[in-house]
Amino acid sequence: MRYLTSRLLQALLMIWLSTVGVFTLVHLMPGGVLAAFANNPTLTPETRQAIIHALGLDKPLVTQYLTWLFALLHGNLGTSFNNGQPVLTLIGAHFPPTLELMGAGYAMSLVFSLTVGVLSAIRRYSWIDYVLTFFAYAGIAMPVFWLAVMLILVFSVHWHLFPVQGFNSLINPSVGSNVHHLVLPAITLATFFVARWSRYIRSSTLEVMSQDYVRTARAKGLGRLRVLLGHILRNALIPFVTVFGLDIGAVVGGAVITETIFAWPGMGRLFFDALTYRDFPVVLGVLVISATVVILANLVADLAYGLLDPRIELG
Amino acid sequence: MADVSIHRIRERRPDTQWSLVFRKFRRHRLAVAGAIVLTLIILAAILAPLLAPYPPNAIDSANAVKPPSAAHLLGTDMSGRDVLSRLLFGARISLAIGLSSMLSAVLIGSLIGSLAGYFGGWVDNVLMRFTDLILSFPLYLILFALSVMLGGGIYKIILLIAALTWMYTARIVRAEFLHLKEEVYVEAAKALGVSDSRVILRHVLPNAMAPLIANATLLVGNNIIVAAVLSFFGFGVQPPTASWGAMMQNAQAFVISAPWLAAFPGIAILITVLAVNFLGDGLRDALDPRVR
Repeated sequence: MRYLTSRLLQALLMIWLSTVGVFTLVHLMPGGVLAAFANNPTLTPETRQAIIHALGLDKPLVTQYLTWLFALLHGNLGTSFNNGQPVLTLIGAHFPPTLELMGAGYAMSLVFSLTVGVLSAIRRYSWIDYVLTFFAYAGIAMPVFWLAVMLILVFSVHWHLFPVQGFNSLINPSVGSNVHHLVLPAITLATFFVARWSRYIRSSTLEVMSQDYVRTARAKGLGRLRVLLGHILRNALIPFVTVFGLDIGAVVGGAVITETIFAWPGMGRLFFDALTYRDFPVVLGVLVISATVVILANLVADLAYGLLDPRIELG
Repeated sequence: MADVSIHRIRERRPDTQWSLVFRKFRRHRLAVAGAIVLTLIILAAILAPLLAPYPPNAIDSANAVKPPSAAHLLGTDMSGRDVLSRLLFGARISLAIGLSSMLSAVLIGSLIGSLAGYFGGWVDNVLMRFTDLILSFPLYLILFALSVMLGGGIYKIILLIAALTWMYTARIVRAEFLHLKEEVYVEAAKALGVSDSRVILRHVLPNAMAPLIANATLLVGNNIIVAAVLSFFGFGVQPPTASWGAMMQNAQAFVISAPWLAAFPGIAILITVLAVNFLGDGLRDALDPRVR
């Protein structure tokens, strides 16, 4: 219980620090928050002053931060410079597609990395282990965007199996169209994590396989599958929970790249467009929310690890 | 009989740490292959002006977007520039960014990690929370944001990548310091009145080298990909300088009509990073005294 409280407080502190971090970053940048307006020649000095005043940019930085933080705590992330919509509304509209892509990518990564990792562990040093190991190395060494372009080339251009890009729920809201558009982005996102996680699972499965209790289980005549599922995997997957949680930051980053290439209408696209237009309220909002998600996911992974492994003492 | 074996033992030269490491490394066939391929790529990058059949930025509109042929082994791009020549010159950019951002990241990471691990207490707490904080931002989000705000330029890109990739190095170095600082020789050095900075640099850090070297190698491969992603999205090295990521960005509009333009730079990245990672894995196993 004391551990839980201190871990929760630590996470809250991290979230607060992340707001300080991104706020300082954006406001101390050359050009500052007003970079979006700086290149607009039709802007008179008076209008410029009026904008500065309306945004509170003439106040000290600390006051600005506190105002922003106070609004943030009330669920107000400001309005977009670009189209005047509330940032939270924009994020709300772009979040479901990202969640869908990340969910599909996570699920695909989990299923395939488990299969690949366990298969290469129980068939260690066989040809299948070597082939899978090679693909894992290639998957890690491959730039995500290159994989995306190659997938488009093979599956969309050559075989016409999947659309090149551009999922649009307004034009065609059907589930079929959605899933059809989701396949290539999800594969793109999942490849790196299948490669990375399968290596973890392979080595932790191998480690557990050499334990005495596995030999005992075999010796008392339990079936191979029973030993694999009941003894080996139960123990081998515990450390993987941490990796699974810690990697969420990388999944979010991968999703940004994937979404941009496949014109997937999610948070990545929103962020990318906001950067192009120097739309800082949106940039700030996306950064704060993604950092919060990562910190909370790490917290959950930490706590789950403690719950799953009774050897870890939470004190 | 006993006499002879004693002689044999005496005659054999004692194993130094590095000869042991080298022998273990040589047994790792993929790592040796990685080292050879990487050496070839580095040579190709250094000798690019001699090896490249054309100047990397020579525009030849009459021969734009031509598939691979005898005159242009890997074809030409939309401005008629030779893809092979641009790949060779692009290797310089990729390797330069990969290596120097790794060096800077290792420098930052070792500094923060050794201070945190050596001094412990509040220093450790502050530095490690700072490390966690940087780790809690998705890398590409913060990288894109910063590069838009700071603008391009190869030095800025190197420093930016270093500033966002030192965290795992810091954690590794800190962990090494935490257990090395309990060693008797560190205590002895301290008892003799050796200054903290000298204990850190001369007594502890050299013994933390093994995991640091393996981590640094893997960081090179990682940073080459990060730099390519930056260039691919137009935040990297500015045109017309040839870089592998930017070549892929230019190729995007021609994916259907000229697929080789997109394929070759990606293959170059894949081979380079594979070689670096094999090398890094081999070094990690060779340097780890627990692996026999």
